[in-house]
This record gives sequence, C-alpha cells and structure tokens, in this order.
Amino acid sequence: MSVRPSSALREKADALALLLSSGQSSTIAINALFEELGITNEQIADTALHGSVATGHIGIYKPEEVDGEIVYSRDVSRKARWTYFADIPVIPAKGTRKRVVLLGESVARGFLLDPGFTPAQVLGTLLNGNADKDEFEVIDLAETNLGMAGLKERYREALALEPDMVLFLAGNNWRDDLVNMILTDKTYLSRVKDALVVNQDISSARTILEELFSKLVGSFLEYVRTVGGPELPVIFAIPEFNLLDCRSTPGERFISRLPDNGIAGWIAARDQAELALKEQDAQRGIAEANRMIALDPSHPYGYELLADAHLLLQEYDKARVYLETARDTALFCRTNSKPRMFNITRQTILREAATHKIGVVDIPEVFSRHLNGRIPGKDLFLDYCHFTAEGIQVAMQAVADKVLALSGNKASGKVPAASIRPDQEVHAMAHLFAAIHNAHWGQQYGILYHHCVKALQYSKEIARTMIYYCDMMNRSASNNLCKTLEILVTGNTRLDRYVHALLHPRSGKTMEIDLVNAMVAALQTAGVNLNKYVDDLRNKEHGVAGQAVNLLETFYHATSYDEYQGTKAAFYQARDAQSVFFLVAAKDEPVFFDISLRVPGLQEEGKIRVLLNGVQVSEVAVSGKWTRHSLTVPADICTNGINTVTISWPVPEQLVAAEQRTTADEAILDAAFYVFGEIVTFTATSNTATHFELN
Amino acid sequence: MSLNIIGISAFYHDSACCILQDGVLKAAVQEERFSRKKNDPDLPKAAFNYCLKEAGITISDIDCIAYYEDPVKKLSRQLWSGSRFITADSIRNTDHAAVERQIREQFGYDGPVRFYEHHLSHAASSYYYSGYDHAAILTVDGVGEWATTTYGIGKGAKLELFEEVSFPDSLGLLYSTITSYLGFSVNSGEYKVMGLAPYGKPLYVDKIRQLIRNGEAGQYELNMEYFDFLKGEKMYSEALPALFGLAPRKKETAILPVHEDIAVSLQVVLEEVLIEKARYLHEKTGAENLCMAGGVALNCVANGKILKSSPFKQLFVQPAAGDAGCALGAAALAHADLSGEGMTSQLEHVYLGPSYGSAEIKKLLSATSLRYTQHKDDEELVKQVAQRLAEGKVIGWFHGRMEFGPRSLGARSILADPRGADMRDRINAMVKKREAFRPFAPAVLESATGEHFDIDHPSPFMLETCQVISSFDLPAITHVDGSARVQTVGEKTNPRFAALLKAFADLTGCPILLNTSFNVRDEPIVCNPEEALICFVTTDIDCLILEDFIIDNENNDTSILEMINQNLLERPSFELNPNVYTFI
Ligand SMILES: [Fe+2]
Repeated sequence: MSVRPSSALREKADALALLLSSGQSSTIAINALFEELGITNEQIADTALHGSVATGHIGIYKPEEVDGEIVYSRDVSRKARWTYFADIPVIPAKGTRKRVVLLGESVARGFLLDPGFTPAQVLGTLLNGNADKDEFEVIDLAETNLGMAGLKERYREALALEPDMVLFLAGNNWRDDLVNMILTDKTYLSRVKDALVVNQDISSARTILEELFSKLVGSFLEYVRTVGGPELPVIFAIPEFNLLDCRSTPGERFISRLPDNGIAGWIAARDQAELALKEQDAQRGIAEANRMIALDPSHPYGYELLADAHLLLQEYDKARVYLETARDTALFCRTNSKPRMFNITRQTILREAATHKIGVVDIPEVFSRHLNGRIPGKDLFLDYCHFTAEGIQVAMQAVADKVLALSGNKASGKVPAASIRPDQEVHAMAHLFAAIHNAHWGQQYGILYHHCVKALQYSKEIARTMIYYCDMMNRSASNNLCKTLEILVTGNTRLDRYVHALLHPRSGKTMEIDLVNAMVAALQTAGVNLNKYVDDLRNKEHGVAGQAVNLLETFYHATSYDEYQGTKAAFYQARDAQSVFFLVAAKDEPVFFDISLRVPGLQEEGKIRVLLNGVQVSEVAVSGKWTRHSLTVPADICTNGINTVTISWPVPEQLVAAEQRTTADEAILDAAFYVFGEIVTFTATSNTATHFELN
Repeated sequence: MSLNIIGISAFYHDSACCILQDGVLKAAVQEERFSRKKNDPDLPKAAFNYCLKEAGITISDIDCIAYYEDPVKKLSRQLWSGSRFITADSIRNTDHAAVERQIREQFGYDGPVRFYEHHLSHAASSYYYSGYDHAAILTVDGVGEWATTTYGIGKGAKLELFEEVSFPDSLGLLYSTITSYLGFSVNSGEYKVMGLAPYGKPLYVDKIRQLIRNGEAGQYELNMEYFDFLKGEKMYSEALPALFGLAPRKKETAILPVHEDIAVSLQVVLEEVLIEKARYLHEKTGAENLCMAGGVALNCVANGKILKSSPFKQLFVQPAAGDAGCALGAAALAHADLSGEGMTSQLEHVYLGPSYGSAEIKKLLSATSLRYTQHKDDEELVKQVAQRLAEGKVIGWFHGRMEFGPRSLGARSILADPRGADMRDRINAMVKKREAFRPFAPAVLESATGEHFDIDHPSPFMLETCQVISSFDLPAITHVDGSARVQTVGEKTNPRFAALLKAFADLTGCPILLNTSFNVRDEPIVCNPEEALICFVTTDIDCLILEDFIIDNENNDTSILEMINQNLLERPSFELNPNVYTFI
C-alpha cells in the first residue's frame, strides 16, 4: 500500500519546487527540504530489474534434443531477428572436427555479399582445403548491428557450443557502447562536458574520449578471457576502414562553435585548401589544411584535405595517418556516423590482447601489405567498412593462417583464397547495393558511379533494376507504396535480404540526385538512355511549374540519412555557412520564393545572399528575429531539371563563449556546434497563382 | 492584425497543439498523428508547424503560447508523493525550466509564454467552447498538478474554479487502478472497462465503496490501503486482490464473469459519486448548464446519467476531454486574458486537422500499382460508396480535415452496414483485432435520429450513450444492455458524410452506419493518404475512399504491397508504462 505523506509536507514540497525552478540546485535550504521530504539517493534500489531468464538460447537459436544430442535450431519466436544472422537453420552437435565459432557484426556477416559469399564460408574452405584433412568446422554466429554489449552476450552463450577456438571479427559498432558508458556515468559526462563546452579544449576532449574508450575495450578483452576460461583459444581480427574512398558525410562536417574569429578563419582556410588541391598545389594545400586542423581538431575535413595533399605527393604513410584521424573524429558524435574501427580501439587491442592470451590478426596491417603500402579503398571495400570479395579473401587468408598456426597445422597453400569467388550475380548485387548504401550515407558521385558501372559489368540484368530504382526515387510517394518497389521485390529474389535498403526513413525520402545521375550515366555506357524519362518524371513529381513546393522537405535539401544528434528543432537549421536546396524548374520560367528566416543571436542587421545555380539573385537583410521575404528569380537563370538554390549565411566575426547551462547535459552537442541560420518556411513556385506576395 | 494564440499540451501523454485566431479555433491536432507514435508525449513540433501553416502565419505573428500546466506545482506534487523513481540527485539534475526553454528553442519562439493550471485548462476547454454564457464546470481526471477534481463557474468571459480535490484522492486514479487490476493498460484501457460493465452484475458495489469515502462539499477520499500508485511502480496494493478474493487478471487472458461484475460495480460507484458531486455543484452555482472535461468525462455512460439525475438542463462535454484537449483550454484562457473576451461560438465540429487535395492524391496513386476510379461528382461518389456498403463491404473513408480528439467522426473512419449479425466479428478480424466484447458505434443522419435512438438532441461527438429503439436489428452497434454510443451527423458540419448516410438510407431504408476509427490496433488514427493506403493494403478492408477516389480490393492484388508494408516498414513507437499512471 501507499502511505499518504503528511499534508504538512505539502508546503515543504511547494517551497522546494519553487527553489528548484528558480534555477538553484544545491543550497542549504534545498538540502534541508530534501531531507524533510525524505528524498534521498537510495530510493530506486529495489526497482532494478535483473537480467533475462536463462533460456539456453544462442541468439536466435534454441537448444533441442535430437537423438540424444543437443542441436541448436532457429527459434520461430525470434523470427524477426533471423535476417540478422547467417542463413543457417541448424547448428549441429559437436562432432570430431575442430570447431571455430565466428562472432562479430555485419563485417563478419559479409554484408552486401551474404548469403552468396561470406567470411565464414571462405574461412571454412581455406581451413579444410589447406589442412591435412577435413578437420575444421566454422560456425557462423555473426550478427548484423551487434554492439559490444551484445557481442559479450553472444560470446557467453556460444560457449555452450564447446568451441575449440573463438574468432572475433568485430568492433565497428562500439562507439554506441562508449556513448552509453558516458551517459550513464555522471563523472565521465561532466569531464567531457568541461573539456568540450566549458573550456572549449577539443584536444583534451579527445584525450578523455580515447581514454574512456580504451578502458572500455580493455574491459572487453578481460571479459573474454575471464568468461572463456584460461585455456580457450581466442583470436581477435581487427577490422579496417575504407580510408581512401569513404569520406566524411554532410552531417559529419557540421561546423564547430569555435571561439573568437575561429569559424571565419576555418572557413577561409577550407576554401583556400580546396582551391589549392584543385590546382594540384600540394604544399599550399598542406599549409591551409593544417590551419583548419589547428583551429578545429574535431573536424574531419581538415585531415581529409591534408591527406589528399599528401596523396598528391604519393606520401601514403602520412596520408594514412590523416585519413585515420579524420575517420576518428566521429568520436565527437555530430551525427549518427556509420560503423568504424577507431585507432584507439585497434591500439588497445594490439597492446593488451597478449596479456589476456588473445591472438590478433591485424587486418589494417594485412591490407597494407597486400597493397604494398598503399591505402585501402574501393578495391577492398564496398562501403565504409564492409569488404569486397577481394577484401574478404585477403582478410580470411590471414585469419586462416593464424587459426592453422594456433591449432598446430601447417598451411599447405593448396587452396589460395583468391580461388574462392562469388558468382557474377552476387558481385553485381553487391555493387548495386553498395552504390545505394553509399548514396544514403553521403558519399560523392564518383564512388556511386564506380559501383553502378561495376554492377553492370558483372551483370547486364542489373540494368532493369536500376531503371526501376530511378523511377522509384523520383516519385514523391514513399518507396513502400511505389509500384516499382513491388516490381523490384517480385522480380529479383536475391534482393530480399537487402530490401530494407530500398526503404527510406519515414518522411525522410530524398531525390538521391547523385545516385540517380550516376545510374543514368552508367546505363548510358550499357546503351540505355534514361535521361528524358528521368527529367520528365522529376518535373512531374517535383517541378515548381504547377505547384508550390516546400523546399524544407527532405527531398529538396537532404543528401544523406545523417541525423544531427543534439536537440532537433521544428525548423531547418544551417550547420554550414552555405545551405543548398534543389529545385526542379524549367528554362526561362521565373521562380518565386517565400522564405522566413533568422540568424540566431545576431545582434545587428546582417545580410544573406541567395544564389541560383551559382548566380546571385538577391541579397536579403536578416536579423536575430524571424523575417519573411518574397523573392523572384529571373527567368533567364533557371534551367530545365535540377537547379541549385544556395543561401549564403553571414559568418560570425567574433564569437563569445557559449552560454553555460548548469544542468542540461543533453545540450553538450548544441553548445559545441554552430548554427549559421534558421529557416522556418521556404516555398518555391513558378505559378503566380500559388505565390504569396508580401504587401 | 489578428490575435494569434497557440495552445500546447505536452510531456505527459498525447501531446497536442492548436491555434486560436481572434477567438476562432483554426486548427488542432495531436502530435501522434504526425509522428505516428501512439500517445506521443514529446513537444508537438509537427503539430505546431501545421497549425501555423493552416492559419497562414509565421512564428513572428504569434501573440502568445499558452501551456496547459504549471510545471512548478506539478514538481511540488511529485516531490511530495515520494515516488521510488525520484532521487535527490535526479531532481537536482533536472532542468526545471525545461518546458519554457524547450518551447523557445525547439519552436524558435521568443514571445510571451503563459502557463495555466492543468484543471483550469480542462475547465476552459469545456466552458469556452460550449457556447454557454453561464455554466457550472466539473473537471475530473487522474491528476494534473495537485488537483484531480475541480468545481467551477463560467460567466461571460470569466471562468473561476472555487474548489478542488487534491492528489492522491482521485476518481480517475480509482478507475485506472481497477483497470490495471482487471488486466488492461492504464491510460488507455479505461474505456474497455466501461465497455465490459454492461455484461456484469453489480455484486461488488460494497467492496468498491470501501475504496472511496465520500466527504463534505465536493470532497472525497481514497482509502490508500488499497492503492500503491504513490511509489510510481504499480497502481494497487496487495490489499485489493484480497478485498475481491481474486488474483489480478493477467493481460490477454480470459475475461471471466467476475471481471465483468467488478467493472459494472465500479461504474455504479463512479456514477454515484459523480451524480452527488454534480448535485452539489448545481446547488453551489445555480447554473442550468453543466460543462465537463478531464479524462473521466470520456465516460459517456456516466455523462448521460449525470444529466438525467441532476438538476442540470444541458450538458457540454469537450470532445477531446483528455489532456490533448487542454491545449484548447489553455489557448482560450490566454485569449480571454489578452482580449478580455470569451470565445465567439460553440465548438460545432472537430475537423481541425490537415486535409489533402485531389491532385496530391492522384499523384500518389499514380505512383502505385493500384487501380482506382475518380468521381468528381459528389452525388455519384456517395452513391457508389453506399452501394458497396449495402453489399456488406467494409469501407475505409478518408475525407476532409482530420478529427481532433480520440474519436473518428467521419473524416478518418472505417464504415460498414450495422445491420449484419456478423459485421462486428468481421471488422474485428480484418482490421481492429480488438476485444470482441465492445460493440462499435453508430453514426446516424441527424434528421432521422429520433426514429432509431432514444435521444432528443444532437450528439455530434459520440460522447453520450442512449437506448437503441430502431426497428432495424443493429447487432454490430448495440451493446448488451441495448444502448449505443451515437454520433449524429448534420449536413452543415460534414456534408459528404451526411450525404453518404442519406444515400445509404435511400438504398436500404437505414440512415445508420457503423463507424469506427481508421487505424489498426495500437497505432494512431491515419492522418495522410499514404497512411490510409498502408492501412488498406495491410488489412482486409474491402474498399478505400480517398477523397474523390475509390480503390476496390477486388480489383487489386495487394499481396506484395501488404508484404512490404506489413513486414518491412519501421513503425515508430512510444510505449507508456502500461502498469502505472504516468506521473513524471
Ligand atoms: Fe488531465
């Protein structure tokens, strides 16, 4: 039963509520009131729920007794998660063969090639082809999306399979575990906050993040040894990242709130560095990129440009270091960055694995040797971290060598990894989905085109799929209702595992302009001309000729599935000095805009410039308050099809330190990253009837 | 320049936003309809944007944002109640100015924000929209800040609450506690208990009376021995099952006669208390009109009895009587404060959400594989639909602006012929997948109401029950006790729906349709044409009407669309703790 607290306490509660609401949190009066109300820090002790009931499951598999032996078969009640695992209906009872259990996330699954071609298949073939006899079995327990916590659980469960060896190919999803660790521990959180927001010291923030990450990784290694017992052979294969051909996404390039005139300096250096590289001037590129890094060590783009300059000089080792550093800026959590292996994770494993008697296969090193010191890119990777067939071959060769050595076998070299290949269709689908996946995660036209062309090279049939895909992406209807998706799903059974990739986030569809253009161009090389079809469809679905188009819908500005990780506002927020919108217009038709915008915190009047296809069409006075403007773009600047509208925001000359909120921990990111401008309505039309004129 | 006021309810359950322009309610919508998270409690950002767009204004045109609750008073009550989920540090680390800060940051708004107490907002949501110039006001819910029941009076533009019952004494929490004990979810299963009641015998009235003690004036008290909600974990103590001599019903297990008996006993006691308090309120105010709001006012069975058994002559219940409706109340209070005036007229309809034009729908349909027909002539359209209804088909009906509040009233509705014996089971099996014991509600042509239902006034919001007196056998919409929860449809507020009822009557003689909300179980009611299509392809609805367009299931093979939308679509969700009232 509940005991009714005394009504005399109501006055105290009122007083305490008033004090707390006035922004105080720890005065003597407050502490006294807490005490009188009997509110301590121990009230939730008995409400914590303890772990799930042990069912003997291993992931989606449940134990079953068959002919006196325990086998593991897929549990129908966990069917929703079947596609996260390999296509293996039953794990048999252990026989006489040496059992290697493979654990890990999507890399270990062979994402985009699976089920036609997986690391486990290649490893099994290599082990048995190169041992004296058929003496190994590889159990594929890899699971898409698995983080560190899940990996521990799966490992613990998998011990029931009596493995002779456990192989981890994992670690790409561990940033989430780090974030969890920080969010659940006040002392960690306040250290990060002090460094990043209060002291605005990005380098020390990174040191703290890396220190915590290293601690987390170390605890994992210790867990593996403790739970597995002292004798269990364990190998950890450290993944690699697509350093050369996976670059920071738009969301990862949000600009930091740099003090003083840091933002202006950083942007100037960026423009100069880009220009220098365009002109192939490596030395000037290096100087300008270094200026960017000095101003903002948390931003990936300075490192990437610096790496590009060193690549011009064929200085691969230097370029590699900077590309790794660029990749690792995802630690600052600007956006929902895709999985990756951080350098600190790799270094911790390399340093501490031996202490826990864990063998290591360092795939970054393996790839580097394979490429004679060059940097891995689209040859070994389909996207940010998932291997191509060649990547799987090379990585599994190294793993097989290690497994054989640990089990006392000598590799015979009879079956080379390169001889184990997927069929053409599997290759083709992998490249098609690589193109789609890279587009969703903000990669540039060049890489998308590469994968489209590859896909067509492997299979002419893929052209049909591309045509339907282009149709679907240009529709304003959600993909899940499009006729073309139905055709894709029924027409190609190989699609089913990746059909999720054909569905966009709710209310988050984009036109995928670069990808559609890349497909159209690739199709052209195969003799298919889709240009007119795409232009007409874009016009019909998105054209401003007959309708007022809301440019704030994701169709007209988003170029990736990036999602800012801080507070989301009800309006558009520009996190770079320029905002780009896409407009489907017609040549020689004027376009009218209705826009309401502001520059938050701007004390005096400022100006924004509005450009269409790079030509300035207007300059608009803005302030810290919302103002509404009616603009007209002259007909002669508009072109048929996609036009770009650029809003160029004022760049702050002088920034004071971010305002400190005493309690809002969730606002760390908001304080760390800068907002250049905000737009609350932005519509475009060529039709005067739907245009709103300000009087 | 107009006076533009935004009303907000949020951070509890079922957040909502509305806009009043010069005292006229221009738009109102619950955030769940946009976010698709059932009972979404987050700041209603999409609803806010929609309201501005509908009123044709931008943020700088807003004169005031009115918030439906006083966060300081609410905090005080939370501190007092000693929930296990509160610790000194968790309280210290909470930003207690968060409500205002979030409104400013996330809406980008820097004008005035006014806070109105929760029950004052409930009261205003009823009185100011009632069209009465003078009325007594009764609000009853689980809890707001401290108040759980209030008594007030409205006169012209002035509204005053003169007495309140304080937490933890609460009729709403009593109802929720029994709801939980009977194996339904708190905050959403209460109306199931109401639906269960007519099946039972009031054998437990004495036991229920032990849970609540009547007091002086407007007061009453809960016997806390039987309750446990102060700790914030569950609703009832061990003493409650002991009192009934019956273990709590587990969710999704069989409903026994004893559960029905307890449900009706609760209903009886609730009505007793409400009638007595209504009499008291009449005595105090002398008003002829009664206005009600608060979650308990959604108990339409009780409402009818209150009107019948108290001296009040007329009753107005805010159709969104739950917390979403508080947004309307807060906005009306701000309007009265700023303009010195009340509202201009009675709330005549709740078609306050978004609508979608034919061009847009045609573009959508042409991207799909679906075969459809378009009927630009209204008369032809309703004839076609009536024909299908008469053939026993189940129709998804999407027309005009979406309803505000918990009920579908002919804008986003599933419609069917109420005469068939098996219609209730069919609809339950094909789309609603809900408890078979609850009948559906009827919509009836206003002019024909008296022939079929024992009610002498319009009931446009489905907030009252009355006896079915029709010569038709209407099993799908008639409760076991012969009652129905009726919606009367007038030509003025929803001409196309009225025309459909008329066309159906022309064909069959019956001016009544079964009307239930257009959604699948546990999801919000559909808002836009895409959601209607998804609902159509993933259920066995026979025919979908999207404005002027008719899409027949029999002309389409929707199996692939069904597979895609059933299995692959991400469904956002927000789950309330089903075991306890959300206090924090
Ligand atoms: Fe309420």
